[in-house]
Amino acid sequence: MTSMLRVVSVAPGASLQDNGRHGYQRYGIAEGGVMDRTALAEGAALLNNTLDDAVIEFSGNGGVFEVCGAPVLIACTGADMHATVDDQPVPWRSTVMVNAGQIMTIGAARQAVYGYLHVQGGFDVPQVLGSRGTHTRAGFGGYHGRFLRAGDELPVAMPSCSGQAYLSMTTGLPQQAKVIRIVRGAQADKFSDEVYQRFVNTVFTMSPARDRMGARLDSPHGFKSETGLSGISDAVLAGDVQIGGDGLATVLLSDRQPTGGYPRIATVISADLDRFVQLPVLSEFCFECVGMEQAVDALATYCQSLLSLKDNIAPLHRNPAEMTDLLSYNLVDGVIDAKRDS
Amino acid sequence: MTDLNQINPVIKNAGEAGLIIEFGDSLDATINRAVHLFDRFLTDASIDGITDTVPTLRSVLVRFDPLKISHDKLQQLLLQKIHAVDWAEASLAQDFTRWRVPVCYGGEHGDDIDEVAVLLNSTVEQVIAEHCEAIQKVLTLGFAPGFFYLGLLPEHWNLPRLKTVKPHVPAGSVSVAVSQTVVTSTPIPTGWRTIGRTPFNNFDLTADPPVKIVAGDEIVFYSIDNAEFIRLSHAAEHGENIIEPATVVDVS
Repeated sequence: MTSMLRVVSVAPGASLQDNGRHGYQRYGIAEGGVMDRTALAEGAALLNNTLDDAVIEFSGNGGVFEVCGAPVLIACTGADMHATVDDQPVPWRSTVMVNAGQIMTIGAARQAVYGYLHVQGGFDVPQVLGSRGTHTRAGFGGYHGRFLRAGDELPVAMPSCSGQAYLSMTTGLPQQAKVIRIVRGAQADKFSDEVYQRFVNTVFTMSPARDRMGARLDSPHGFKSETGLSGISDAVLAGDVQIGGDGLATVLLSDRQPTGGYPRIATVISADLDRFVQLPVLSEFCFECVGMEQAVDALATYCQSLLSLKDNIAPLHRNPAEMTDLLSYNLVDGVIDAKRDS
Repeated sequence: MTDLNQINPVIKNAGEAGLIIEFGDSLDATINRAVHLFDRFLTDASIDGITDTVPTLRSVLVRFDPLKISHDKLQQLLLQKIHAVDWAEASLAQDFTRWRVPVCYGGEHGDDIDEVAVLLNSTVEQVIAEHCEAIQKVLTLGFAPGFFYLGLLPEHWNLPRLKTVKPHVPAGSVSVAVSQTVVTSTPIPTGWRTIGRTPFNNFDLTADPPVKIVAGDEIVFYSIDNAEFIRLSHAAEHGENIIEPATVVDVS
């Protein structure tokens, strides 16, 4: 029996994403993929999924979903949102079995921005140019190439291996940081030392002008380049901090255009990009310029932490008094497991 | 054209997992050609640790895994190759293609053509004739899927961009500014003056790679009327190939 998730309602900006579309930037195609790669990896670890399995990415607000067909094992990661299944709270970064007819409600993000709903096996949409992610501007990939809306029926792929309900990730990685590490940008030399120093010493505010393409930063002063506005575009990366003609900074993100002509004063290191995208609007932060060696060390630590996420998974501790579904569980298996573990 | 001795590529860091090899600081046919030759070299060399390369107008972005190959080692390898070759003189065994591409000029498909004729102090007929006469090089793909930049047109085509961006032009729009032509493959906003539309679409999701025209290729446009535009659009929508190579381009 197959499963399906019906979208009863959903907030704007939700789309199917995965690890991104790699190797097509030379053809003008944005890399895309989830904004928070740590959150993608956490869900994959909890559900035995791969990073190529499609998940729902929410931007600030969730939605209401109904499971149809066979039960679905789900997990939520990323920005902590208030979630329930039939009015029972669903813990974040934990696996939960949802049965046909049950209604799952996901509310507003409590502190960070991007939340993720994973299903075991992933959503069953075709890979287009190597990715199941949605390229909304060109209208392909994901679910019919567009953001999700009420009435959509998202088929769930058959899981390739079994999963277990009520597992929890005991130590989620830190979602946000007030200090974001950068390395000098490809065009940092187009700025005077004074302007660069001012950039590094500035307290920035995340502006409301942010989306999957980029995040505009508010600052008390601009960072004009006298020589950098040649207008000849180069390929740009996620994390590049470009300074526009008005002197203000924008950090380019997953859905950035593949090329850009504004000078890039800095690049956010890969290890800190997930924390950066999760900074809520109006939060204050500053950049810390690090050397290349430090940035590569941080990348190694980041990659290692993603690889060892499974070590952080443990059975979820639940209060039996709050378990209305207690009688539906085979408690004997749990007892045997406990003996084996001891 | 730039003097040969002026091509002096510099390597810049692009994050901790990328390098940008910049072949020059201006938009120039020789620099651009060197970019695409170097990119082909990197593709053919398949250096362990390089994950992707992105050639653009005057630079190549090299993405790599710094946990597999160190910055120093990769920089050394790239510098060796950069200095071993005179990129202004180089030629590679592989050839780029020269395509003949149909365009329906003016009318509803190119509503800025009258203004372009005025700016060029010319007539619409002369604008079309000049645009079809030029052999235009694909300088880069970018900005949007399948979107390509062609250049360089004669100096008097150095027209400014529009003051206000048009919110939407359809796929296939052929527009000009700053001695270049751009051709869209998806509906996008543009600040360039649209002079016509081609029934050919350079973005095909069913193919991999999803583009037929690549950077380094050359384009010669030919003028078609609206009836032919409709016929060819229909054929293209039904999967027929509507552009053919003219001749093989010798890149040397």
